[in-house]
Amino acid sequence: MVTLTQKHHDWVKSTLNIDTSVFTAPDADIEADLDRIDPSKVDLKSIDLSQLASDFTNSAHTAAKQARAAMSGLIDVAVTGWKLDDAAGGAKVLAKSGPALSADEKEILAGNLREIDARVTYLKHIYNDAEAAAKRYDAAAQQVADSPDTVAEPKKDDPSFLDEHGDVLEHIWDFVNQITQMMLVVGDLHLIAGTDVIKDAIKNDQIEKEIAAIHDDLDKQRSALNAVIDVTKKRAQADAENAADEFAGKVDELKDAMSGVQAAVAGYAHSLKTFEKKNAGKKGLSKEAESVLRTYNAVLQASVVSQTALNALKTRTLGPSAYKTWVKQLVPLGKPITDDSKTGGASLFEKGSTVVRYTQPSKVVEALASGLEDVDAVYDDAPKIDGWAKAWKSAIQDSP
Amino acid sequence: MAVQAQELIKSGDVARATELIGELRKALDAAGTQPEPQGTPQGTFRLDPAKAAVFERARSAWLATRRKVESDIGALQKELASSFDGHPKASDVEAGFASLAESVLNLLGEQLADALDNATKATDANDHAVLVHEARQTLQRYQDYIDGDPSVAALDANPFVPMAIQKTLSATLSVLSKTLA
Repeated sequence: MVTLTQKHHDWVKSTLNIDTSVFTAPDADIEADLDRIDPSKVDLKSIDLSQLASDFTNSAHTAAKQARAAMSGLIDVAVTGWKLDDAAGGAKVLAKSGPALSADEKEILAGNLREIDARVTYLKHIYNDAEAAAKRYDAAAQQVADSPDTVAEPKKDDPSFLDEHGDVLEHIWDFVNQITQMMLVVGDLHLIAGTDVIKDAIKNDQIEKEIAAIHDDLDKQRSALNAVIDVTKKRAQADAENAADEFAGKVDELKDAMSGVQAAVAGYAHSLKTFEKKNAGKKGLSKEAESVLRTYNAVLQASVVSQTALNALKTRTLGPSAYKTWVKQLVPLGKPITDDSKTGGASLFEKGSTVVRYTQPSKVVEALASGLEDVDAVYDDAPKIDGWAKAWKSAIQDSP
Repeated sequence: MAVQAQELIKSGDVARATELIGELRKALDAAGTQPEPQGTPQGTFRLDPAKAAVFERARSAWLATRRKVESDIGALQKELASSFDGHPKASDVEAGFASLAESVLNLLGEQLADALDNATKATDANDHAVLVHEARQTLQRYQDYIDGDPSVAALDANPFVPMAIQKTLSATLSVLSKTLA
């Protein structure tokens, strides 16, 4: 069985007038896609390596781009609340013009961003290595596929012998014809005693000897050629197995690197959540708390959660757990009490025993609801997400 | 002696070949004179055994070639079925290729073999001549089909199983055409 590629579909279409290329496999869910690139769950030798390499390269580059965009978005969000100072040799640290967070807190947040930056840089490096390994694997596998088959000995009546050595046999046929013609020149030899003896002599001594000589020569050539083919094929198979091992190792490294990026992003989100909890409700910190909330709001309005993170999720940069963590951290903004945003004022939301103010709560709600619905569409069997979606839909309905 | 004459003909020494043929003629004359044939009465025609052997080999060669082509097409059919197993259009591909294969094999049928067989067994000189003519026409029809119809070239160009049907058929027909010349 060959693995179908475009050239196979093209031949079927041009020869049989049947378009087979328009049919692709049904859209698999993300978990199935993840399974597909997990070397522990699939037999790499049984799948289309060329297609895998192409998919892998495309998704890896897209994921790297999304991860970097997500990080840039986070930095932009940070800039909304605080300013970054790149003066110290390019190291990103939070400047003192930021809100009234402690120096340690600012440094933690700056450290989170540096961690994300480093992780994404490493991820990109691994992507390149894995892509190169995938191409080497593909090339090695193709080498195996292109290895010539062993040359079999043709049977005497096998027309392939005629096909391969037509010139020689044609010469023999010519020889027979010439002899026949010569006999006709001599006379009606078929009526003369001894003709059969002459023909038998010709047949036995000439044609058969020539055929035997041809067979003998071809046997020697075939034997030498098969020895070369055997060595070449074994070498190609060994190369392919080594390349497969290398590729599988790089995929494992890639998964680890992705997990590293996820952990770094989750760390940044966790810091924000921790500082929000610490500062909220404290006297004199309402402005700072609002800054933090504005940061959350900006995060949502910039669609980092509902769009970038979801895209990252779909492109496998973030797994479902990381996405749920993000949403869970950002959802508990509280139940809306008043909404004056249409008149330019702020809105009040009740969060436990605390009342918080939002300047554009409707956009917050819309972004969250949209993001949750997106997640719900991807993971419709996640009860927690269902609960969040229902809670926020209820909050929207209850909103004045 | 005949062999030597043949070698001389092949080497271009016609004069010496003619001498040898003369010697051969004398040797054969010395072997005894046979009565001259008085024509070929209707129903008593018998093809020259040498020519009959050539016809029989030509017939065998064509049948073997056709079996080879049939085998190659069968291998491609099997590979197609395997490669498209589970594909939504697998049944269409299977039916389409079966139709194509049947068309090619029917056009390259056993008419040539039958014509050669009948020509070999003919008991009438005129019938023999007609059947040989028919065989030549059939052979030419095959060659025209191989050269002009895109189906055979398309089969050779398939990316599933390497094959050279056109070359196999053309090489065989080229040799056979000389035997019928």
